[in-house]
Parts: sequence; structure tokens; C-alpha cells
Amino acid sequence: MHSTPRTDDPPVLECRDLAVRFAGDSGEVFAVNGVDLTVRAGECFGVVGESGSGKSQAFMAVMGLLAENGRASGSVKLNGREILNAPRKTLNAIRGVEMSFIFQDPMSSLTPFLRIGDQMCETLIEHSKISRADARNRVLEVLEMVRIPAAKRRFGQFPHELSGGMRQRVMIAQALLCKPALLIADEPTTALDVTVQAEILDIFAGLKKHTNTAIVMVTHDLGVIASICDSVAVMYAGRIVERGAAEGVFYDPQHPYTRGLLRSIPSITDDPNADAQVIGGQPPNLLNLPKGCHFRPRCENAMAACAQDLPPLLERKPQHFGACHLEVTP
Amino acid sequence: MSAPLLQVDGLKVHFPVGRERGKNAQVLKAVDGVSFTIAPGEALGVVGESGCGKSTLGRAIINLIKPTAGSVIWQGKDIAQFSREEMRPLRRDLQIIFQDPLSSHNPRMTIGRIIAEPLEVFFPDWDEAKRTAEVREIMGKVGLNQELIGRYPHELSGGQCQRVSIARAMILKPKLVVCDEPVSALDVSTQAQIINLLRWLRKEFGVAILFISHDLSVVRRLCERVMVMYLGHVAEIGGRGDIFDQPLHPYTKALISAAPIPDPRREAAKERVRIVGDMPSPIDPPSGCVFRTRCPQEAPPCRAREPVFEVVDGHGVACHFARSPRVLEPSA
Amino acid sequence: MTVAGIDNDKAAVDAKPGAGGDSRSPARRAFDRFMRNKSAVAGLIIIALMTVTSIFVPILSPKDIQTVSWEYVLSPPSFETGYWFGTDVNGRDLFVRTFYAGRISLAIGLLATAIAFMIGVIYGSISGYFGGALDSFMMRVCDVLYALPTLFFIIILVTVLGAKNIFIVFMCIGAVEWLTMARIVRGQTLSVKQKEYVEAAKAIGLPTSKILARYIVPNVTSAVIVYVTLLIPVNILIESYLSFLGLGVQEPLTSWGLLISQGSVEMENAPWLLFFPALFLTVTLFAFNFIGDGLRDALDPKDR
Repeated sequence: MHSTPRTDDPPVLECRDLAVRFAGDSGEVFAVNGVDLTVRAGECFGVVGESGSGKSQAFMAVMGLLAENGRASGSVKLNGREILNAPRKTLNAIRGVEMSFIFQDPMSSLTPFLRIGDQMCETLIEHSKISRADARNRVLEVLEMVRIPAAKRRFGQFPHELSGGMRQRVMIAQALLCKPALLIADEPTTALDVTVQAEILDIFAGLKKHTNTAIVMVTHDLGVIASICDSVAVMYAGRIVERGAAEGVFYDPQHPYTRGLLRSIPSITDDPNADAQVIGGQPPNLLNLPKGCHFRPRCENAMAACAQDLPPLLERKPQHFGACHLEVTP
Repeated sequence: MSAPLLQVDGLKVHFPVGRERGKNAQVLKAVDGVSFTIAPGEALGVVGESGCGKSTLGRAIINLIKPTAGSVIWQGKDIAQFSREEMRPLRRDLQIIFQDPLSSHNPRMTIGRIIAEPLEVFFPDWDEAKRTAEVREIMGKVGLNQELIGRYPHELSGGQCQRVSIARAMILKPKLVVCDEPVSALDVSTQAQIINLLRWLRKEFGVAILFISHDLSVVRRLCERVMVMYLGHVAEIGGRGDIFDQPLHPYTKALISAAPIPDPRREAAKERVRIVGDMPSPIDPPSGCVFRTRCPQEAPPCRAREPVFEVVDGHGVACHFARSPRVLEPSA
Repeated sequence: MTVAGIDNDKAAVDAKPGAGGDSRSPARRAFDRFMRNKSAVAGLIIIALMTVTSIFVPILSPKDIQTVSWEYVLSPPSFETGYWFGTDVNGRDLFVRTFYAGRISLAIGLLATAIAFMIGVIYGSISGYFGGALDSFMMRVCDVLYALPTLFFIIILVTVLGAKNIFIVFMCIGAVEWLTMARIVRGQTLSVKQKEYVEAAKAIGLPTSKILARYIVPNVTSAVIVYVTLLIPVNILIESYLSFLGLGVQEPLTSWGLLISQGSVEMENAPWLLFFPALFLTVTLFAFNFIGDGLRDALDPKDR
């Protein structure tokens, strides 16, 4: 069963009113808006949403990796220190050490011309000023941690010699090298086959059990969330519409979007003869968001109030937040 | 059971790789001896991981790729080696829908023209008005707003693009549509819409579907029969109940248990059949059973010979130990 | 009739940053980006002015290209005499001659490029689409032609065919410059033919000629459009070389290359004869290059 981290632990990551704006050809777009979240040590925090929900951009902002036309505002604290829009030098000292990132495409962060072991050792030596022999040992240690068979042999291989699943493991290993306090994984299994995905998820589950690293899992797949996350934030049109413990979000969703999403995902356990229940309509247009609640045009419970005001994210059940005008059902 | 609409027998698609020709030429065996049938109006799901040959199979059936060997019997005729000219009249009944919603449409054609193109090929004598009327009708059926007729593909969302693909495929009222991962690139909420649409179209037009997907749960919603492929071979084929409730092949079991269930309690409680490693290269497949390198129950016979494809009550499986209990001490 | 999940909304958004919810066509978006590039727009204005003035020069100036005035032989540029750019050895107005030359130079640049473009697109798309032995053969032909030094080859062609007709000059330049175009088009065709929409066209039994005309060529040409704009100045320059060598445009017609050639003879006592045509040629070449760069940025914003 999932262990819920204690809420009085000091947070590893704390975002307050995080917003990300992009200057585009046709004006400014808010990709992320008013995002508040807290991730504690040892916790696996899931962020789920469809494309355009801002889930990836929010964490690109946290890492300071926004595209050039992007501006972030608000506050992001890592272990109590403000890091949003910090100078590049500060960020470089933090990234890969205090917080690491895992992308969907592992090749994007591996240099094709260097052996796996060499590039990992470089990273480690760069950040922690240890001897090459120590670095090598640590690299082998993390490679074994992510269950890479024959780690010594892999050490001398080039990225192209590895399969997609192996590369993603190397990525995770690299991210763990400096024992980061926070690990952000953006769709780490989306490009992988299901059997390989299951192996990678096992690795994350192992990390949760054996290290104190806080994990943020950004994904579109509620199945992935269900298998490893303790708490979840559901994003829609750049905002968090629901946030709480995984149990609460899955079994007592407080937002109609979450309910719709949970109903519409196919699962190998649901009734194959019934039509799926769907969320009607189209994903929101960030340039032209509906007034009031952004989900209103697709919402089955829309009321007059929904067209007027954007519902704030309020505590509807203990430690379970939702942004909806509907009355709380007991 | 009625005569099959499509009968595929020992289909092989091999591609030459590398520069060597002749005896030393290396061959990529994308599809290596696949047999199955599809009845009129039936939906057969083809499931497997990337590189298992499922997309190649879909293209070979409708002759977009020439099969190396084997037969594809379409309504009594073997079309496997048909030329482009011979295929043309049959294309009216055999359609395909692709995965990528954006790259399946010519970016320089309007939605109306894209959907009308099959009509232009098969009914060149129709006038503009008749074509447009037909296009509008099918757009209504697949749930596309008529205003979109003059738009370009990039102006549409992924789900709408996929509806355009479906409209284009359905406008000639074909008998079989090959769907190659049609919902994989879509968001969850859109995915469900498209699956419901395909279910509805089956009822409305009685079209048979070969539904290729890596996602078991999607296949389960749409198809009454399922075929599991591994490395160019059929691992298991059977009715939906056979495959999902009584899977026989270890690979099928692993696939089913690997799919994460969007329900934390069930996900934590489910039994896992773990397989490790990656699919071997189809250029140099393992001897004997192709799955043996990752199989949790590998035994000496698996290495020695290829398992016989055994079919009992329409449930076929290629595994030495699927139906007979595993012999722990092989007779010396 | 109802269909589950019917969608009535307008086109939805692409989630990429900066590209959100844009209902403009890609061409329109590229145009807007182009118009924000100052040097490209300046280039466009210069070319437009140059073209318009060249066309309407007979109206702007009463003097003709061949009007000879013996009082003003080699007269320096001056507003008082009315010869703004001065006159040449025969007392002909250099202002008028420079713009008449502009007509020829621009026309050769555009037409030779158009010829290269047509041959290149047809040759390249056929070679790339059919592939196999035909592709190998067609590309080897290109390689052989490539191996010949361009200018040398044009000089031979012009000499053999006779340079009296400027159309032959167009043809010769165009016939040589298509090689690179064909290679670019072939490369693009190879990538376009992998696209699913080409497979979709085959799946409905569309004839090959229509696939080429409707699917391949339109999607390939956008990629070569930048190269086309950059080829125009190259061709203007080639024409100048030829005319400088006396192989290009012949009197009584004139071009910038020919004017420069004639000006260089009198460089010491009448430098303006060299200066003005050279200035116009240089400015035009720069302008086209700016337009080309602007187009590249506009069509491929990722590259910036």
C-alpha cells in the first residue's frame, strides 16, 4: 500500500502562484496559471493532464528550462530556497545535483559520441569533485540500482547500442548520480512499450522504497499515476483543477473533469460491451479561454455561476482540493 | 460461420537490409508466417509491441507492401501478388486509417477535397454537387461540423483529423478498414470519442475492422477477436474472452499484467507476470520459439523447435507448454 | 442522428508554446513573420523599386537608351546637366542605361531561375519518388554534369549556340543551375513520400501522376523556395560574368555586367561609369539575399 508522507515534513518543492507565459505570434498565452503545489521528501507526486494542460511547461519553469519566448512568474522554492528565474550559474549548480530531470526522449540528454560510463562520470566529477575511481564506483552503483544487467559492460557502450528501455534506465541512473532531493520525470514511459514501461515503473517504485528522493511524475496516463503516485494534481487549461492524495482523487474525485477522465480511459477491467463515457467537446484553446470556469463548455454540471467566475482551488475534503462551483457532496 | 471476408495464410514480409545481395544478404523478417481470417463485419484486434510486425502486416494485407510469401485471399481471390492496376478496383472495399492525425492528410488540401478524393477516383463522372452532398453526409455521420469543409488539416485538432481519416475511409462504404493505431496519438478524452465512433460505424455500416494497436484496453473495447503478435509471429489468437480472461501464452499474460490499471487499489493488488529484456532483432530471431529469450518458463524444447500453432475452439496459441503442463524433467 | 462525442467546436489548439490556437494558415503565419524581419522587408522594397523603375524608365526620362549627345561625352554626374549619373563615351545617359540594364539583368535572373526551378522540381521529384535504378541513373547524370565547371560549361554552351539571342543566355544559365535544385527536391521527395498521406493516396488507388502532382510537388516546393530566391542573385551574377567577358548580352541591349565591363575600360577618367552599375548590381544582390534569409526564417522558425 502507499505510504502517505507526513504533512509536517519540510517540503522539498514548493510552488506558489506559478505562471508561465509565452509570447507568440498572436499575443501572449498563459500556458500555466496560478499553480500551487508542495512535494515532500519520499513522496511521489503525480501531475496528470492532456496535451496543452501546461503540465510539462510548469516543470520546465521549475527547472529553468523554458523556451526563449517563455516567462515564468510566482515562486518556486527548492528546499526552502527561491529558484524561479535564478541566474543560469545558480541553476547549473542545482540541476543534476539537488534536482534532476528525466525526459520522454532519453537520447535528448545523452551525448551520442561518448560512452555511457564516461558521460556519467563526467557529470559526477563536474558536480561533486570526486576522484575518477570513486565516480566510477558510484556510476556502477546507480546502474545497478536501475537494474541494468551487466552494468560493467554497459559502462563502455555508446547510447546507440542500447535499446529504448535501456537508455531510459541510463537516464534515470544519470539523474540519480548526485542523490538529488527532487526528481522530475516528464512522461518517462510514454515512448516505451508496455512491458518495458512496467519495468521502468518498477524502478521508480524501488526508488520510492529505498531512497528519500521526492519524485514528480508528469504524465497523461492515469494508469501510471495509479501504479506509483501518492498524491496527484490534475491540470486543465494551465490550472490545477484538483489536488489530493491518490486514493481521494481516484475514488472520490472532486472535479467533473477528473470524473470524466476516469470514466473515459479504457481499462482492461471495464465492460467491453458498453460505450465509453466520454468528455464531449474539444480541448481548450489557450488563446481564447472561456470566461469563468475553463472547463464549463465541456462540463455536464455547468451552472450559471460557472460562466461568471473562475472557481478557486479550495479544500473540499481534508487535504483534498478542487476548483469547482458544485456543492461538496458528503 | 459464413465464408471469411479475408483469409491470410502463411503471410511473410521480409525486407532486405544492408548492401549485401544474394546469398549473404541479411533479411529483416517483419512478418514471418502469419495466418488468420476475418469474417464479414468482424473486428479483429492485432496487439503487440513496437517491432512485432503489426503495422507491416496491416499494409501487406491491403497490398501497400508486397508480401514475400503466403496468400491473402480476399473474397475468394488471392490478391497477395496483385499489381497496382489489378488492385485499383478492389481498393473501394479495402481502406486504411493511419496513426498520426496530422501527417495522414496532405497539408495543402482542404478537408472537403481530402474526403472527396476517393469519390474522384471511383466515380470520376460525378459532378461537384453530388460529391459535395456525399461528403457532407459522411461528415455528419462521423461527427464533423460541416463548416470545416473548407478548412485545412492544421486548423483541426487531432481528434478532428482522425474523424477526417475515418470519413475518407468510410465514404466508399468499404467492407474492411485497416486501422493502424488510430487513437495512439490522441489524448485520453479524444481517444474515447474516436473509439465510440468506430463502434458506432461498425453497427451502422457493418464494416469489418482490422484494428492494430499496442494498447490492450483499447482493443478490448472494440474487437471481439484479438491476435497477439511477437516478432513477426502470432503468439496467440482468440475471442476477447479467451485472450483477456484465459490467456494461454506467457507473452499475452505479461502484456495484460503490464498494462497499468487506472485504479490504485486494483493496480496494487494485481498479479504480475514479469518479463525482462527487450525484443530481439527481427534480423536475427532466436531459434525455436521466438519468445524464449524473454520467457519466464523457457525450457529445452523451446530452443530446439518452433512451437506448433494449436487451435482449440478458435483459440490458437503458439507455445510448447500452453495446454500441456510443463515437463520439468525433459526425457533424456 | 446522433453520434457519440460529436464535436462542434472550432479548431482546437496545438499545445506548443507560442503556437497556441492560431487560425491563420501556415502561409499567412510565415508571411507575418517575414514582414517583421526588417532587412528582408527592406530588400523586398528595394527590388520592387528597382523593378518598377526599370519598367517605367522610358516615362521617367525623355532620353532613350541610344540617345547620343555629342556635347556631353563622358560628362560627370551632375544635376545641372540633367545627367544624374553622367554619360558614357558616346554621350549616352548612364541613368537611363543603368535602368535599361536592370531590366535585362533582373529578367535574366528571374527567368533563368524559373527554368532551373522547373527542371529541378520535375527531375528531382521523379527521381526521388520512383527510387531504385531510375533514381541511381538520374542522380549519376547529375553527378556527371556537376563535375563540369559551371561557368566553363555555360561559356561553351553560349559559344556553341551563339550569344546573339538573350533567350539562349537564359536557357544556358537555367540549364546548368537546376542541378542543385534537383538534388534538394529529390531529398525532400524522399522524406515526403514516407508521409502517411502519400500512403493514404496509394490506398485509394490514386494514379501515380496525380500523387506526384497533388501530393509530392506542392509539399516539396515550399522547401526549395528559399533556395530559389537565393539562386536569383547567383544567376544575375553569372550573367554579369558572361557579359563582362563579352559572351552575354550584346549591344544595343545592355546589362549591368556589360556596363561594368565598359565602365572598367574608362575607370581612370570616368569612374562613375563603373560606380553606378556596380552599385546597382551590389545592392540588388544584397537585397535578394536578405529576402532569401528572411524567407528561410519565416518558413522555418525553429531554425532561428
